[in-house]
Amino acid sequence: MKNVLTLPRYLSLWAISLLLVALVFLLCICFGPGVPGISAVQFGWPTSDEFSLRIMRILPAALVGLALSASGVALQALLRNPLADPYVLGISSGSSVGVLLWLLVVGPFYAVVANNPFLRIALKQGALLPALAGAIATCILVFLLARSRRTSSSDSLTLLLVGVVVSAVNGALLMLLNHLAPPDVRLNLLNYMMGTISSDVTATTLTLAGVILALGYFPLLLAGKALNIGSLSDTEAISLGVNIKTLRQLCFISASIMTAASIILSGPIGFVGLICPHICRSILGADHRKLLVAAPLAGAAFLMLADTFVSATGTLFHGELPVGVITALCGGPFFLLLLHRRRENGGLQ
Amino acid sequence: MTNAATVTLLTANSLAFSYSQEKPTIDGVSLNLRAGDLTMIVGPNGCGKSTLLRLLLGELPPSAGSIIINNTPTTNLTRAQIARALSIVPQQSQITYSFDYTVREIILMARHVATANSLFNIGFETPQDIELANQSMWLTDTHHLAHRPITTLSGGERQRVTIARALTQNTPIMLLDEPTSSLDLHHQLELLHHLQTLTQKESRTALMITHDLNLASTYASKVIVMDQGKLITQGLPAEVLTPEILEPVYRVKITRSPDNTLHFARRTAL
Amino acid sequence: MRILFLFLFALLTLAGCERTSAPATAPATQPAVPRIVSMVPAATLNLVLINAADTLVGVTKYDALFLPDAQKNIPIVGDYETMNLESLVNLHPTAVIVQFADARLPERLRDLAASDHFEILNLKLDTIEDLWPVTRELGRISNHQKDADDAIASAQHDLDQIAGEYKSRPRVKVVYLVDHNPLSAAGAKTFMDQMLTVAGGENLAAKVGDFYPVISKETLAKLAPDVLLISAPDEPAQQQNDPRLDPYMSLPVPAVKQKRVYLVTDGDSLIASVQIAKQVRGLADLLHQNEPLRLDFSPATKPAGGGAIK
Repeated sequence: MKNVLTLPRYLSLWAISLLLVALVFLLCICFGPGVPGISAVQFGWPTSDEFSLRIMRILPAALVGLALSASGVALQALLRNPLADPYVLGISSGSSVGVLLWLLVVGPFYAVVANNPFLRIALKQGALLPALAGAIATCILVFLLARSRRTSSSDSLTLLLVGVVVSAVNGALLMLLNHLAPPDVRLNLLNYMMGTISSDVTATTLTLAGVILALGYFPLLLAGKALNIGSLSDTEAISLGVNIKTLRQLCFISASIMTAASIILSGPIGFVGLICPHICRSILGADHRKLLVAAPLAGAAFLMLADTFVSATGTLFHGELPVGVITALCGGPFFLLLLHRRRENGGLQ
Repeated sequence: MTNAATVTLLTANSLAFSYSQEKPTIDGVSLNLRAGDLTMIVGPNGCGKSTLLRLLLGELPPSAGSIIINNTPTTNLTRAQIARALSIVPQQSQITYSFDYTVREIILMARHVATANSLFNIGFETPQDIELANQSMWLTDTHHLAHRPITTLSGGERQRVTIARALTQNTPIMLLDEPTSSLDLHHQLELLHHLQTLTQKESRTALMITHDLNLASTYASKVIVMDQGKLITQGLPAEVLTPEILEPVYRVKITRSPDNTLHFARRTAL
Repeated sequence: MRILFLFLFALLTLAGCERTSAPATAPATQPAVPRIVSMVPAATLNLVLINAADTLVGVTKYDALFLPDAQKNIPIVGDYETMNLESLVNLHPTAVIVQFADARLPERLRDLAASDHFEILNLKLDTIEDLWPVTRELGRISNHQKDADDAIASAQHDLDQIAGEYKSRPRVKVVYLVDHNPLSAAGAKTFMDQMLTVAGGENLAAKVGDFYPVISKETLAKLAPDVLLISAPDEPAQQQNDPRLDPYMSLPVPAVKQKRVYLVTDGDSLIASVQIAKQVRGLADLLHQNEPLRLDFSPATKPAGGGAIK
């Protein structure tokens, strides 16, 4: 019987999705930049040196893709609108503001704690807290601004406008903070704001980000059925026994946690949280229980591919592109298509 | 037909609520919903009927009064507990779908509360769930739409899906807010016939808002008349649906013909 | 309709009239006291080096490092991207030094130069060879022609000497990293590339691309430099087990295995000036020392105010 989710079907969805990700991983690990002056791109099973280098890009890319896509699903359910995504709504850039503030504040202390490895790690990983604060603050702001009091869902136009403005304000804050920062703390802002997988990722950072991501993801996964109900109106959700207030808080916190984890590993990367949930919805349907399995894994696969592309073409293009360029070039037109279809199908609602 | 031994499933005591400071939307409304009753609420626009239902559901907090379900005040019950006792068919105009769930998925959502006590319950559908959903779909003539995305359905079809979902929730108390507003005659009568069966044969109770006084006259076992947030009167249809009671409330001219059908005409003088 | 056309025509004519055909530079005769506004840090540094610091009346916000104490309070007119034209004009300069691509030289500046009678010196400073004519021009506008010629001669002599020293030796494979997140290196068509070449090095990143390309760790590993230089201008000198090197010490490059990773903390290391020989000598020392970091190595220091070049 169609449209009924049973345990065997759920497990086979997991199996297929994980298999897909594994295949993409194997494909990506075989690509690398060519030797400058000799070859354009390198394809083949990696040596152990190449493997350890590539894995420290591919794993963060997978985590970021997973986080952004899962965040996207949570935000779309929360705001009852398939056009929501952490980048579009300015939540990613809000998290970045948090990180930059942290860098500014602790920058002077790096020299002081230089000889204490524990404190050094604490200072570096501590950026996670302001990243989280920035994400949550922006998330709440966007929710309050975009939501219609009457219907408690948000129409596309309001959502987009709020996102545009919040992103612009955050972008301005980032520029301001970067301007005020001492030269050695400063980011290459243009590169950062397009989004790149950080080359500073250590095993510690990766593990920490992974743990944080899991904390945000697994509760969401378990609440799949409640999310379905919660994405209907408030009245219906209440009548079907779901505590809509708690669900909302779960979505906020979950989306913010996962966005913050992704910001730590890379700058703000766009559109992953938009494209992957949408594609999965069109294949699997809108049931969040299925979506929360497929969309994050699709996000991981997508970003692994995008990052491998920019990495492998680093020699060919005489310098590496930020991965956000690829996701924006894919996602931007996709987003416009989506918007167009929604307008065709009966108003911006 | 009520008798002294009938169980009271829901009691509302002196409920009060206002959206704004100036005037109360609901002012001292008390009612009992007994097993076996199909109660209909009638009244002019803006008299607070929908608000009353939302208060009973627990979506809005009353500023005064209490609601008792199964001898417990609803303030002591969790959402899940209330949802196992009470289901609602909201006004169709208030329902919009942002995502393309299929009809079957939407109807099966009603089974979540049967087993879940928290948000974190994936809730795979059991055969009983599927069976209940199927039955509801047959009853509301939506079975052939089971795999269709809800956004592709007409207003009337969507309303039947909403009704089917409430039926699948399988609760002793049902609240319905103008459930026939988009339905054609056939489906209206089918619904009301089924509500009668449910309430009488399975000892449930239903509280339904309607604008159709003749429907109320035919199918209701009890009618409540509301105006300006107050409960004007309640009782058997024949007692309540009279020109003396209704004319001041609706401000129309009402006559009753020998076959007990009500006829309406505009009032030209006050 | 006709009136509209006439109106547009008149507007265009007026617009054409506004643009004076004044040349970019004024005639060669110099007024008695030069007053120079420099919007290019390299020019500021070079003026200081040819003893012409006292001719400066305006600088950029990045120049404070180069100025001798006596001139620390010279007004700041902006940076190389945005100039405050009003402040500039109020300083009554005799010459303004900028570094724009020809197409991007602002028209307003040209107009001001004609109306306020100052010269615009638009530097082309991409290669070491460019240094000589630029320094000569700087000498001219500051009336320090002799100091300039001396500085040029001295620099050229020293550079030839250094190049000669390492001519016969095999080139040292090096990559100069300017940023670590994202990882980017000095590629072809940069000063650093040329300095490294004169110093007897082979700048491997030149094969990747021009200017400052972003490279991945894997590309760096494939380049396999024997020496890795990290740009760290004006930071404290390198220590034993310096934590600033941590991000790089896990790279699978020969430089790391041989422990030949050095911070270049010279404040002017990325700036082209007539003390280039000193910088090149510093680089050569880093490139050619065959043992791991010598603790007492001090990179080239900033020039003292005025005084001899070397």
